[in-house]
Amino acid sequence: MKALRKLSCLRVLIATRLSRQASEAGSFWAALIVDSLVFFIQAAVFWVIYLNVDDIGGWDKWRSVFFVGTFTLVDGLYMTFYFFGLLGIPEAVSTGRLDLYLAKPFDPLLHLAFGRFNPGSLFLSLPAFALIAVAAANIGAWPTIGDIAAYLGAVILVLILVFDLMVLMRVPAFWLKRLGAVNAAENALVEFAFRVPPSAYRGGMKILFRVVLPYGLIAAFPTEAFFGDAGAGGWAAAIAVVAAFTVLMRFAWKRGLARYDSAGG
Amino acid sequence: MNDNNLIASAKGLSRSYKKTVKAEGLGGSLRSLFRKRTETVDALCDFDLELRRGEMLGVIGPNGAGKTTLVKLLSGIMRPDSGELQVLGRRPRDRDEAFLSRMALVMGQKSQLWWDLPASDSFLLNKAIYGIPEDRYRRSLARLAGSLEVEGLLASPVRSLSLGERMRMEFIAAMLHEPDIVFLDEPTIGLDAPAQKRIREFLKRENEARGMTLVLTSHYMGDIRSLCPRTVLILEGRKSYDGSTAELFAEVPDESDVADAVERIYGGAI
Amino acid sequence: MMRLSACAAVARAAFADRIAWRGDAFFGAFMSAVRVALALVLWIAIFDGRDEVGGMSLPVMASYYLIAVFVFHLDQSDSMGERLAEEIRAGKFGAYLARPVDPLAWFLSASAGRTVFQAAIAAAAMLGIGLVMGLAGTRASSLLAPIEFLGALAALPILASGLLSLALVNFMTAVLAFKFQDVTAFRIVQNSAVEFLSGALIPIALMPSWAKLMLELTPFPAIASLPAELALGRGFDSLPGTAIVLAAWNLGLYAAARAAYASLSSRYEEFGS
Repeated sequence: MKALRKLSCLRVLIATRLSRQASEAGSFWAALIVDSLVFFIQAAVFWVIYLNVDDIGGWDKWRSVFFVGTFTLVDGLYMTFYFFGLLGIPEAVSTGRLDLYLAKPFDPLLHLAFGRFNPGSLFLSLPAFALIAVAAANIGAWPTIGDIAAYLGAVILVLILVFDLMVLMRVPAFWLKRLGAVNAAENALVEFAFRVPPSAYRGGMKILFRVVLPYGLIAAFPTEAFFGDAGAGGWAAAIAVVAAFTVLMRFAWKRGLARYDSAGG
Repeated sequence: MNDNNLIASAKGLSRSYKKTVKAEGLGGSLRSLFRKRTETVDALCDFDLELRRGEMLGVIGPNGAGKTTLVKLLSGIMRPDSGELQVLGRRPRDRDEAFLSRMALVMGQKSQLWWDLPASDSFLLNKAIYGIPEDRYRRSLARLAGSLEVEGLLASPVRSLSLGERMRMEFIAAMLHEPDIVFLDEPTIGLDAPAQKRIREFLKRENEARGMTLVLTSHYMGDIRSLCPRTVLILEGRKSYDGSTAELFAEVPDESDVADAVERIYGGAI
Repeated sequence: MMRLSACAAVARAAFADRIAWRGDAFFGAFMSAVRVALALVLWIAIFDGRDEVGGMSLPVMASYYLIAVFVFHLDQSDSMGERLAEEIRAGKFGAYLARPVDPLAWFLSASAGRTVFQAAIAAAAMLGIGLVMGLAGTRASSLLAPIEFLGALAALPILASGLLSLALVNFMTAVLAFKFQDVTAFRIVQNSAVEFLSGALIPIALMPSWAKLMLELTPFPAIASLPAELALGRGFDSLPGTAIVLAAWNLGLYAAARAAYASLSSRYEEFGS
């Protein structure tokens, strides 16, 4: 499918979804309340930790606040665009709802992913930006245009990575009837990535959480990019990891579709 | 496919599923934890089919016979385990745009419409997906909505429509892009008699006007008899009959259920 | 009310249901171990260069967290609540109404059956971790503080009361589906809040005193923090007070659950297929 038409389909899909959301004010506010509460709880965890210690792995309170703000920003963005859509992959596979996506000339993965666009989660970006700004001010790190561009580029990179990881965690639905344990694995890894600043990873842990299971990159890499800690090597490594996982994701999705049994009927 | 008039051709098509088997009770569950037993179910076995442009083919058989499996293989939703299959000159399993843009799938038990929005919003999405130009879209929509008598319902949320009205909207969504071949999996299930009749008349008109090819699975005699001059009967995954519908059901009353009719013809064969 | 034998049958069926799919069951065991391992990485990072945090040494903190994660994830009433809410939303609740089934009794029995299964899996994981750490030698085994047998015994009824409270809360959240249809948002808010308030996310001992005092008046610490403290030989003084608080909460929540169901279920409409 030509790229332009793909984008046009995505545009119409998101517009259709917005129409649907607008007709359901309750679910819009519910998503906002949920996202806000989850954010406050995560912030409270860090607040309690820093009541008792001055730093975590050499990262002081404000660097950690920047890290939390970055994760919240990334979290809000992926929850807005594709989180709920990808969450529905196992149900689409198990109920056969995937059939009607497969019968259309539009990438079924993109159709599923963006078909549950959730604008309410965008509001998470507000406290995220506030945290980032306050942290940067307290660290005394006023960003240049280059820092901001690097930061935004890194955010886009990790959004692609999160997409890949979410799909990889759900592709087992084509083989397994239940994914409760896989969901638990993903939750554990995401929570871990959010709560452990990258300064705490040493040696083998660094390879594990930045290459093999790159959840550690999600908030860490944009933070490092902003403060100039990433370097050319860091950027090359991050891009290589994201590219590798994107290839792996497409391969796994294709294998899953080949395996698809289409329930029902 | 050598014959220019052939739109679909299947040779030796087969597809099976693995089914987990577990003994009842807690003991059975504990045993299955360490030793899983599976059974292979042959959904479709060594199936041959040739379909010509403009043909309207009925596919019948008892529940679990393999009808829906056949439709899913023909529409590219599933891959066959073995055999050759071509539809519209393409392999459905490749699911390329050239194939998907010229075919449509309507499933009586699954909906492609957005539940909380007017059907017209779903149509706009399909317009973008199939790349239908604006003027062709408007013409197609006006024609289909008029033919199905739902012009006044296009702005109503789908959830507020009756089942019959929803199915008519499903047909519009599926046919806006004027497909060459349409696969229908039990499209009239749950509809009352007048609604079924309306759908059948619509499909006949589309076939006559555009030469659209139709593959229809149904449990209703009325669907098969009124729409399909040719019928394929599948029993336990194998083709048992492929020929004239009139001859197959010559002795069967119109109001019979298809399964009853088949049982009557084949006695204890089912 | 359902007969006790019927409740036991429901619990057995829920247990069997959990082990019916072995991929999920084995992977669940593996994930329990992974969850524990990730927790250890986190706390080692926080303790870097420190002997104590909030009055707890690393071995005590690590053991606290291991136990708290283990007991917190024993709760299965959340997933049962999700299933119940979905049945109400999809118009399938009639199956309960058409049989001599008390939905609350059924819910508690099924949650209990699944919790027993989960306890077996988690115990196997904990045993595995303990063996691995023991085999790894002195250095690794110093990461864990020893568990006090009497404390662990005292923790059991506390934990059972806490899980009962949580199950009653989850039941009430599920029956909100009679009114709101989709209760996913309520469930996520509740789960996030409970995880924090129970001390499973972060030890209550690290929180300011006003927060500790408030939490002592709720049943949530009984789901993670209190059993962990007792198993480590701490928190015995608060045991009598905690028992009274938990008993009061369980009675109150039980009455509230009954009232919520009676009031909300009258809205139920069974949809056609």
